[in-house]
Amino acid sequence: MAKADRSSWLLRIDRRFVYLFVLLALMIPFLFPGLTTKPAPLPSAKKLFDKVERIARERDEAVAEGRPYNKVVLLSFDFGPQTRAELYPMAEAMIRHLMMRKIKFAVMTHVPDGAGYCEDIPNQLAREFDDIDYGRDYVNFGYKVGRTFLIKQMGEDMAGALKTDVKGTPYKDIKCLKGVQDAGDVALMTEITGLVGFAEMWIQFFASARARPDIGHGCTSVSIPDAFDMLESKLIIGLLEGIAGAAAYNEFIEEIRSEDQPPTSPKARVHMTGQTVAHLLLVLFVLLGNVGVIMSALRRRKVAGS
Amino acid sequence: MRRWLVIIVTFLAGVYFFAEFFLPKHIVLGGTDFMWSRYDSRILDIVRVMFVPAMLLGIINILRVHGFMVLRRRKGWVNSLALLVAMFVTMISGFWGYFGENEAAASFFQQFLFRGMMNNLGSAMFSLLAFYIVSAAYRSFRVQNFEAGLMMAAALMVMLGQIPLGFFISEKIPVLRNWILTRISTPAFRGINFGALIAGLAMAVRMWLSLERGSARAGGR
Repeated sequence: MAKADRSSWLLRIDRRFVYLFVLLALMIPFLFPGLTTKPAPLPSAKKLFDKVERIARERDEAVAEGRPYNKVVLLSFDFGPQTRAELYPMAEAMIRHLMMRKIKFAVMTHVPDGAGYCEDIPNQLAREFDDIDYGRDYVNFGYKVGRTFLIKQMGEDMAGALKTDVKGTPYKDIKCLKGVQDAGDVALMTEITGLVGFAEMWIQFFASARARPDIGHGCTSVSIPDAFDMLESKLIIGLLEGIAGAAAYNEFIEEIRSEDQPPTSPKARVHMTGQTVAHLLLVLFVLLGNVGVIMSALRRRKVAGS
Repeated sequence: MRRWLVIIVTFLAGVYFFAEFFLPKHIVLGGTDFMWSRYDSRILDIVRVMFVPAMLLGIINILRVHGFMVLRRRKGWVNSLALLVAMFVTMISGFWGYFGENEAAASFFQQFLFRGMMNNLGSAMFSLLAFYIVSAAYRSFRVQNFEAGLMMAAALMVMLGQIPLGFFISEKIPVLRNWILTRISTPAFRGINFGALIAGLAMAVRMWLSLERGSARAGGR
């Protein structure tokens, strides 16, 4: 009787054990927040960070020279609970940076699920800062219908397309949007989504006869290869690559943060560590499976030779 | 008659957007300054209005399918009932909060339904993917030939380059990951996108001219 193949267990690890290991791996950073890893300084995230810094400098120069500066940053949060773990910290990091630099911004969404985040993220962060007010410093347009039609019209006529904010305030009465007429008055547009085709909509349609604003993008890890196409061809000026991008962005913020400003949230770092451990576990299981394949093949060859 | 109406409206709408994209924004003809974008606002309003009956159709469809399941006590009728109850509770609290300007209803919608339930249930459903992906990768990423080995090596390198550990093992791992993404993955994606966009363009022209079987022809029946 042939001896049992001792390596065969490597090929048949019960899936319930796999699930258990994944659960333990994902729980580690949540149970021990001190064990989080430092994010890698991603150049794609730095580009987006530098763009926001440039906007603040341009605004300060204009104010110093007595020139009017009416530009705003526009953010679209097109995500729901499914991708919240990766995209919420990303949106939080960008808004924190804008509030730190007192750059006026507007948030909106093309998906109904995103309306809650448009409400929650800026309002919660505004409470951390003493001097940030709704209407004067930022505005929430909530869920807007129309997608490409809406974006196309926003490019030429922001007031006509958006009409009112989420509270029903007419566009012309929103203080932070005074003088913002079309896409030429938007200093940066950033699309944060895990959905394919949404960043492309802004790239294709968000422009006026005067200008086309710079576009940034935050995506989930799984859509990075797709987003790299836009980054490489310079259709977007910067990219937040999944949760690692959000954690890297927070690190850049920490470098410029003064003592009197609130610290960044540890959420991105904790989520990124969980993802890192899960990735390592995946690599480990793939390697185990392949060691099993190689050992089985060697054993079969040995049996055939004898 | 109805079929021809669909064909004519589709064609004219296509002509408008086609001309708007290619022709100058202002066209001056005999003292008349025609500006293409002047109708954009109205078109957007029409699109918004069209979304409403589409949503209504969706609600009617859900009521028909799942209402039938509940009334006939078909297998899984409890799930259908849960869906209908969730839909109505969300709708009522939304309308109540908006039209009644009721703070408590708005808060109930935001706090309990969105943050408390939808957020957590949606995240929980999607997080199951993490478990399935590790299990599926373990079972399917087996090096049976050279191509499979190459794919696995590339996947492992991209994964290690994405996580901070890769960067701290060697700074060359993220460089290699970027090389794979920009020199191999991106050109391949572009090739696929080109193919898909050309096919999309052909499909758009067929829809515009109502040559597509499903678009205009079904309208006549």
